[in-house]
Amino acid sequence: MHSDTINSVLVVGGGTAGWLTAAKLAKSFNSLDGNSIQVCLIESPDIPTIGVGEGTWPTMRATLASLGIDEAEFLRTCHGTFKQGTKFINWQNASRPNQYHHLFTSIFDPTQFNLAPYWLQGDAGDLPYAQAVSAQARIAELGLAPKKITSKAYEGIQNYAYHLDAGKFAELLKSHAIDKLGVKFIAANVTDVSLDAEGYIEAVVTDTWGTVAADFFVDCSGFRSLLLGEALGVGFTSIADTLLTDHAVTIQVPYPDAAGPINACTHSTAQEAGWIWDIGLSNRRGVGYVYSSRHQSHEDAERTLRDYIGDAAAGLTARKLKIDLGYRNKFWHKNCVAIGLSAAFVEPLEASAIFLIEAAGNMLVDQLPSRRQGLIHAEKKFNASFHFRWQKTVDFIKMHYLLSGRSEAFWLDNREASSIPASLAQTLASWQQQVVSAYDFPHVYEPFPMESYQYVLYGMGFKPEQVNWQRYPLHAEAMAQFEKVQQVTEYLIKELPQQRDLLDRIYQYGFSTI
Amino acid sequence: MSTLVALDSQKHQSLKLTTDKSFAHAKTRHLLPVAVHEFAMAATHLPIVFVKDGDTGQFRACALTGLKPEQNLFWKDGGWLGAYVPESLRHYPLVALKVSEGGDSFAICIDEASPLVGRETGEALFDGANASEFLNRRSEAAVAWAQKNLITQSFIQRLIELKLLQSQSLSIRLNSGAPYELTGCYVIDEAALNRLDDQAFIGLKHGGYLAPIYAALLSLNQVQSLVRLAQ
Ligand SMILES: Cc1cc2nc3c(=O)[nH]c(=O)nc-3n(C[C@H](O)[C@H](O)[C@H](O)COP(=O)(O)OP(=O)(O)OC[C@H]3O[C@@H](n4cnc5c(N)ncnc54)[C@H](O)[C@@H]3O)c2cc1C
Repeated sequence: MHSDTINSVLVVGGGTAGWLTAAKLAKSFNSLDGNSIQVCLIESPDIPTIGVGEGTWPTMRATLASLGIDEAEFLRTCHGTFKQGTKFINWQNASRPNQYHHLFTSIFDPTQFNLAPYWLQGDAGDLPYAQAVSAQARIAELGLAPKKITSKAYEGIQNYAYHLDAGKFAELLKSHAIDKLGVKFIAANVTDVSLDAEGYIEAVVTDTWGTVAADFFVDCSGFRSLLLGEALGVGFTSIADTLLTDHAVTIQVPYPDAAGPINACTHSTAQEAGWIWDIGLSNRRGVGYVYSSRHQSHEDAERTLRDYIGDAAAGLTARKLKIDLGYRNKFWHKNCVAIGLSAAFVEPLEASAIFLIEAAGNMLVDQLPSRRQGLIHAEKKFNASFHFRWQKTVDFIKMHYLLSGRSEAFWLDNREASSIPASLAQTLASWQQQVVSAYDFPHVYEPFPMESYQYVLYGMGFKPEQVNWQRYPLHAEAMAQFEKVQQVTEYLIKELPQQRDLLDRIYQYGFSTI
Repeated sequence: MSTLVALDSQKHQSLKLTTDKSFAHAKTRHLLPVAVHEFAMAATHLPIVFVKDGDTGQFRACALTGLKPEQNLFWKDGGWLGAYVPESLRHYPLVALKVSEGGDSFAICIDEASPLVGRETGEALFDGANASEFLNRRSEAAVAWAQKNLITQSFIQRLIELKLLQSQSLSIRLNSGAPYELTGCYVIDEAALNRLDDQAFIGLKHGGYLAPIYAALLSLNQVQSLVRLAQ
């Protein structure tokens, strides 16, 4: 007989999704106090975690800070580095070298005074958009850190996210969640799921730990979606006809010089049938090619990745992963919510997965009802919110492809009208007449902010053709701001240390909490 | 640029040290480290603030001697003006550094580039292969100073743990020029100190920390003396 109150939560799966969610729940419920809601996590000792997912969003800083994790310790144990955005290379075309930056910090808030229409009119001369509005493009190009050793933990002079080792990160979260936050841990394989008469999950059956019951379940079992998909039968909507990549091949590349420079942003380089990510950790690079197997054979894909890496790839093992892009028709069903790969996955072009895991954890923490009757209402709110977020994410990723002028089959197919979501087509059409505006983002939980769209659109060379430019007459003000951005950039370049230099100091001294 | 190297009886055998009572090396320093032991004496002459070291991010307790970087208002016309000379000045160009993290032996280092170091004038550092009487005295003093610094570090650590430090920019208003803010300084948060629970407060008392805490608080009145010197 189940109780009416929700006193216990069982998380199934111990990847990034499982441990982040369990830690967030236990922290906010104060599970260390035995009278509070208890959080337990079951992880298979046999099934490995996905082992990729090494780029985050700046939200991770607030997440780690709120869990009480020391930033210096996190950086040290997870080989973490500072990520100041993404550099997209050769996305515009394949004929001549081109690149642009999608950054985290603009010097002026575009909702106060939008510089984009003035940049489009040429008021910043021939500076690329990112360089005209942000200091971070040059900071990242120079391999500089976003902060100094005198900065407070989790506070930046420039906004930043992290690159991290996914395996080490799950380990850190695990020990923190168990030792400091009171999460109970069971190492066992879930072999069956038992439902009650109303179709709610009662318990999971394990191979070595018997039956484990709980009032609420979080499915973090990865692509398999053991609870939500398999046990509760919630269907999967594929988006394979919108986003065409279906595989990834990855290689971990050691540095030629252990004390050498580290990239300060993710590099994403367009290829014949997809794109390659290149992430610099403190001890190695993580490099992977996300591609469409309908457009390139697996062998050719691996060769493409090895060619990108160059001589250093010789002798390194490559790992191939199949990826199913799409989302569950519901994320929350009855007393179960899926978070992580079990809920949805889009290609990792904008590193959206982990930040949507954080977002889902935050909403669950806030919205988990205290009684079973509250579940139906919470489910509706959660599903509406995350359908919105995933749909926006899909549109945003797809937008990168639509703006490209590359002409290989993969890229042409990506621009095929039938593959474009109507919502995206409409928005892009409106941006021919109106520059991107704060009014395009009325939702508080918009996954990507207005600035992200601006960096990508104007970085890719999107030119609104039907704007009445007379509406933007404040040229002198705009030029003064562009000038100011350049001054701030010069100042910051002098102030900020090399990423490697800062990391070495952090390992030695840590960051102050004040 | 200071070039600190460990003293070596071979390499440095013929070196001599002059003593400079004007402390010219501090001419352009607006922050001078002070140890918790001298807070009470320093506090009636100089503001004591806490600042982060630019190389390590670690806090240091410092006497503020200028109102902007590179300005030392206590150094004028070839000499030190103040009635109080921070102890750190007296050890230059010798420094005692821990040989290993956690260990308690020190190596005596010297700033080879210092104008006080030479071969002609001053007192000899070595007497043959052995440290001279003079060097022994100076080394002992430098080690004692290093130990006081360690105690100061634990004092600061305690302040941080109890959340007693707060960042505070000092508003500087001179007769000439526009008012500006001197940033990067941290001071003791008096309100937070008053809110401490009894146990934590008694802990400070037993640690001998109360006198330096109040000295640091009172010392902030000396910002006005700096402003007067600057006018
Ligand atoms: C190629 C690629 C690149 C990516 N890059 C990024 C990126 O840059 N940024 C980003 O944010 N995200 C990225 N992602 C997504 C990111 O990797 C995932 O969102 C994240 O790692 C979360 O995974 P997870 O915890 O949901 O699943 P997993 O890591 O697969 O964990 C599943 C867990 O469930 C357990 N489990 C499974 N079955 C059972 C069972 N029967 N019993 C008990 N336990 C079980 C497993 O043991 C494991 O612990 C990328 C993904 C891919 C595929």
